[in-house]
Amino acid sequence: MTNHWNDLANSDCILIMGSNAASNHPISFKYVTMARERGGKLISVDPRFTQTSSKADIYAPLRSGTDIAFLGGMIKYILDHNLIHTSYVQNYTNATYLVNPAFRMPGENNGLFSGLTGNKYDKATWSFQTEADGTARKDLSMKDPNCVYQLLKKHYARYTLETVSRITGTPKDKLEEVYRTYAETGKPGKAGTIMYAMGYTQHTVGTQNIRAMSIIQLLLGNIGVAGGGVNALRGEANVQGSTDHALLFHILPGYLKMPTASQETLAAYNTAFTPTTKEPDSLNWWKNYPKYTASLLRAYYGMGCTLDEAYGYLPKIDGGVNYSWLTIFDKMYKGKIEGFFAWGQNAACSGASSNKTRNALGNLEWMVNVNLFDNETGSFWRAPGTDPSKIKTEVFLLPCASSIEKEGSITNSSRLMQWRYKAVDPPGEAKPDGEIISELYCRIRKLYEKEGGPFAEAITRLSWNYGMPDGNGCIRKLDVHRIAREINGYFLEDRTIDNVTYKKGTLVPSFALLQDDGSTSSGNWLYCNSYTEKGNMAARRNNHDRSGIGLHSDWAWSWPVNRRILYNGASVDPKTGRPWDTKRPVIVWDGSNWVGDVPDGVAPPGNGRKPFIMKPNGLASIFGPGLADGPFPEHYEPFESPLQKNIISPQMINPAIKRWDREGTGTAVDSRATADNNFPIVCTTFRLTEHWQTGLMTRWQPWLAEMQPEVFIEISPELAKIKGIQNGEMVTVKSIRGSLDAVAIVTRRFRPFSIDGKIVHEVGIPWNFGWATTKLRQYAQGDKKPDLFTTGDSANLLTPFIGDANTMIPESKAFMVNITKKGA
Amino acid sequence: MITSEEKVRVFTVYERVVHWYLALTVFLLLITGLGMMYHSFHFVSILFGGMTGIKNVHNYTGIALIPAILMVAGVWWREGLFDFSTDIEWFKKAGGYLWSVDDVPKSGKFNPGQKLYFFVIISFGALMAATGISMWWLPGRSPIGWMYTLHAFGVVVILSFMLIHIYLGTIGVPGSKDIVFSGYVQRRWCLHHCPKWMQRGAAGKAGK
Amino acid sequence: MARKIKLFDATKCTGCRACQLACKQWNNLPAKQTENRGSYQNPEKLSPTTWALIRFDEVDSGVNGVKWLFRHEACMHCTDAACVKVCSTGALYKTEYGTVALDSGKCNGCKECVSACPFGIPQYDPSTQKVYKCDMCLSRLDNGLEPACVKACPTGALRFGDEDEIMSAARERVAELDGGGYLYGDKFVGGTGMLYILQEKPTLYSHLPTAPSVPTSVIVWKDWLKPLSLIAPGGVLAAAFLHYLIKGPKVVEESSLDKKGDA
Repeated sequence: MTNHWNDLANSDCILIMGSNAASNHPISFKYVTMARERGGKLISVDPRFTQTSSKADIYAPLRSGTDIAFLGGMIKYILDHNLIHTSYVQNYTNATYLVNPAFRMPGENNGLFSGLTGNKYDKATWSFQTEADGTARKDLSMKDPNCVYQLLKKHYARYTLETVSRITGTPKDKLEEVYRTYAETGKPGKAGTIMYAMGYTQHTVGTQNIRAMSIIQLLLGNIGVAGGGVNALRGEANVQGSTDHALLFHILPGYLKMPTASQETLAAYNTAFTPTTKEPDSLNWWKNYPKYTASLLRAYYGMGCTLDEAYGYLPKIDGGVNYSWLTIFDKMYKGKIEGFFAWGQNAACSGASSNKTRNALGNLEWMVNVNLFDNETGSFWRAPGTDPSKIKTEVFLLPCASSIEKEGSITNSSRLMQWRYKAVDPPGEAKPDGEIISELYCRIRKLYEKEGGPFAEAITRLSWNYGMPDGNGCIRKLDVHRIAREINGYFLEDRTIDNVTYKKGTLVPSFALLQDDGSTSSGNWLYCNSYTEKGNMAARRNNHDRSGIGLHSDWAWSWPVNRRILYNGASVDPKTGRPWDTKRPVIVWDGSNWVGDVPDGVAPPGNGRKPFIMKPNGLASIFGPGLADGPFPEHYEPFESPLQKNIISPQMINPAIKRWDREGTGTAVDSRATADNNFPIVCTTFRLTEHWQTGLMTRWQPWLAEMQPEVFIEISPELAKIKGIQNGEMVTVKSIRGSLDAVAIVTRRFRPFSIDGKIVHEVGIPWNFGWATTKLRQYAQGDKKPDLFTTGDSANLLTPFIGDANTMIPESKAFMVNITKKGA
Repeated sequence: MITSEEKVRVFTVYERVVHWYLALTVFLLLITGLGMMYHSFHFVSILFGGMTGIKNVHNYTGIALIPAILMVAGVWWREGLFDFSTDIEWFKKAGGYLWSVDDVPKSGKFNPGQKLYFFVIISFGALMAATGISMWWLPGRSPIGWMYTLHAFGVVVILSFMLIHIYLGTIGVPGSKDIVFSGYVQRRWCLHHCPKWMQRGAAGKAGK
Repeated sequence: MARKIKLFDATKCTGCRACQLACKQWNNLPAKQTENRGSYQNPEKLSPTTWALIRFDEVDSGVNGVKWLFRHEACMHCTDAACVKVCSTGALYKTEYGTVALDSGKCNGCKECVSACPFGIPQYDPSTQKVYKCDMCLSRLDNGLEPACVKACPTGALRFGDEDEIMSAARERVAELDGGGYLYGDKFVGGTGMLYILQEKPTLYSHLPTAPSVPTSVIVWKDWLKPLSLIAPGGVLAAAFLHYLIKGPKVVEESSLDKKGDA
């Protein structure tokens, strides 16, 4: 979230798209309801009428996978009616920048941006024109045909109401109503916010979906203001934390980049990732990159080696190679992976094309399942229809503690790091994950010390001082406060900065004081300031709100440096420093200081400092050349679509995605059925309030299983009639990759779409179910049976094995199926 | 010759057993019923192991009421039901119980007042059984509410008639109580109260 | 003590069912095996082990439109509570908070309340021979806490407080909704202790009586027959006593009998 949960209450218009927040983030609706009580409008855009839609002022249906068309139409509407927040756009975005004249856009280039070879773009033409001094060439009047603003206008001129409606199936009057209502927030002093979740990201164009919304928010001046922002509703309480701390292959903690094999030295690595700028007024915060690298290396390897040596120990990835979920499971499926730690996940149900995932697990030599208890992943070898004697994989279950059985922090969607205390001891042999890791580390280190091996020092020299070692030199009880302090970082030597002396061993008060010479450590520079000499900031519990706009700045701690609303420097007029919205100011200049939220790098008013300090030029990117699939979002059909061709261009699907469905790249589990009469129905997946993710934790809970006992499929009455299905009957759903039985909920909350004059049906299935808690599976002696059984398996048995061009998030939200009455 | 002092057997053993079976059943139903119904009578439930116990005793005694009613109906049936032409005359004169009447129509074994009592006990007993079973066995949805009301109405009627019956069966008509205990009363008592029955010679038969 | 009432504002309810679960948790009510019957609503209805339930109703609206209505169903805690009126054992009673509580120890499962309740709230369990229903979390109220369902509600759709305060807040909200909210509960059974602000007309909600009242059968029984049941037998006894005094017992005189007998 650029903003935070409480801040939703400040909004004048909330657009919830790609999310059923009312159901899946129920607490968010406390604040959405507050906003509505204050006269704020709520818009729900969703293929099906959801709990969120039931509370919305406007509900607009759209066919799954057509968000960019929908939002592209809104961009056109805003530009056509000149509803932009002009001063904001001119001063705070790159709309004024002139783009390389050689740059070509899909409208004039067969649906592609210039530079595509194979499935990769050469981005040479996606560049800005420069002046002799190296600064970007700009046109403040935004009239130059090559300026970003004009290109944007030209690109989205194709997204007429007519075309958008033909693609999305949204009636034109609904489109216009949504556009008009939301664009109202472009007026200075008005704030509109967007709430999105997996409905936005789980698409082959997921990243561009969010880009489209970001562009709208920038045009309307809604970033950095109270009640504004682009707000990702995280699907798990600590997903934000796990991302910040780099539970992903391509980053290190604090969004530092993962070094590649070609970056042989620390200097080469820093040079590659430290941006420079010639723009005079830009703070270019990432110029501090080497300080954060050095501090991280110190946290990893301590003072016993040089920074260069420490860098040498870091594992490196091969440049251009993807190591994300889909790639891992594809390799596993092809027998190229020997061992697998399934840690805190239920891959057999959560992974796209579950038949592939489940079969892949059988090609492992060994698997360690670290979870609260057994699940479909750990027991994949005895799933219904599987012959255990044919599975060679050796499976270990390491029971771990749940969140209430250990102390530590979580970081929620608000970027709010909140300290939690242990309520009860873990049952039986279960241990906190950290202690399992510590135990593993100790044993692996001993093996390396004894037997050696490639890059042994990467393990043996790790700084691991999180508690008292036992007789074997292993740390079995972790001191989580030590870890939290290491994440914050220490001065490793006495240092005097700006006439203040910091003693060796004291905690660094803020990341502005981190050093590139190895004299400071920080496990995650973004979290520097979270645990200081003043104490554990995340444990603060002062609920008083000094701001009057719900910042609650003394409650816990949020990154960066307790800033609650990101880019808040953009909430004020660049010349006068006066807040756009004087009723809900985020920061106010009191003559000598900014008061309110922690200001986002802004200098005193009128000095020209740009607020988007994480961008080299200090400006928000309406033109975003950093992405793999284009500087502007363009509508492409989902990987599987009901259409023969893309209505808006000759290019059917995102050209920059990696594919497994082609000859020689995959098998039946990777196959694709598009514009295929055997699979004519669009399908999407969703979650339920009552169940959590794959249901691992909730399906065993009798009260929750009582409320949602069975996987179901929502079907419109029209489709039900065609298929002869009555409400409550069993239905077999088939995609080209798998099938699933589900109970029919025949409901007018799903309506047939009229797509380009043709009726297209869509259905939806929750993916919270799995076979482990069903009645008909085999229970061995000693297996716990659930108090209440649930029925049905994972909806991911149906989903395609394809990912977003940038993130490789699987496209689980738009694919093609067929349905029949079960047994018919 | 049979003297007036001689005893005549009015009720057989069977009839007396039926009487007391019914009487005890109704008595038990009444005290358990009232023990549930009125907060001030709740103390009665102590005898039956609490409020659930008293309900169970009431419900199962209610089942026992059904054969009692059928048997009582049998007793009445044997003596003939109403004889409307003369019975109405009797009722017009209230059987001579309330004011002095010279010429009360002669009664059989049961006078019309007693027959009315039979009728009330049997019909309202059936009503009590039917409403009681509905309350007990059917799910308590809204039309069932009237069952409770009818049940309560039945109590009012039965209780009222029963009190008259007890009064007349004891101090109101001295000597009559013997019928339900020993089964025998003095011949002259019978000649007075059941002249027709005596004329039929039924008593003689019974007397043997 | 001021009467306490609960307000359910359907215009703020998202059907998340936190209330339904919190009720089970606080009252320690077990779950029962269910199945999906083509609806989110589960269990299907209130039961001895489900005292609060979110009902889901889908209503057509316009050509392509639909409305999805959620209703928190639980005891309405009527002012004129038919259940309390009919409860012979005293198990159902009015508390100092004006709520209707149930002393399970006293309940003997006569089920009269089940038939009397115009909202169909009390639920009879044959296995325990007792009736169960929401008691507004009396154990929480006694400790100064709000009911568990209210505590759990994330959106503020459920509120609890003094009658005056809640009533005026409800009226204000209905005015604010300007035709988009319908107050339900203030106009019958003497006013309910759970007030609704409905998103649509009451007729569009399933299993919700539009004009609930204390059933006639209850009035006939409790207000008419109950006094009569004392008066009638009492009158009979009094009449018998007078009869004994005035007319005297009907003694059969030997002479007259003999005469007649001989005649």
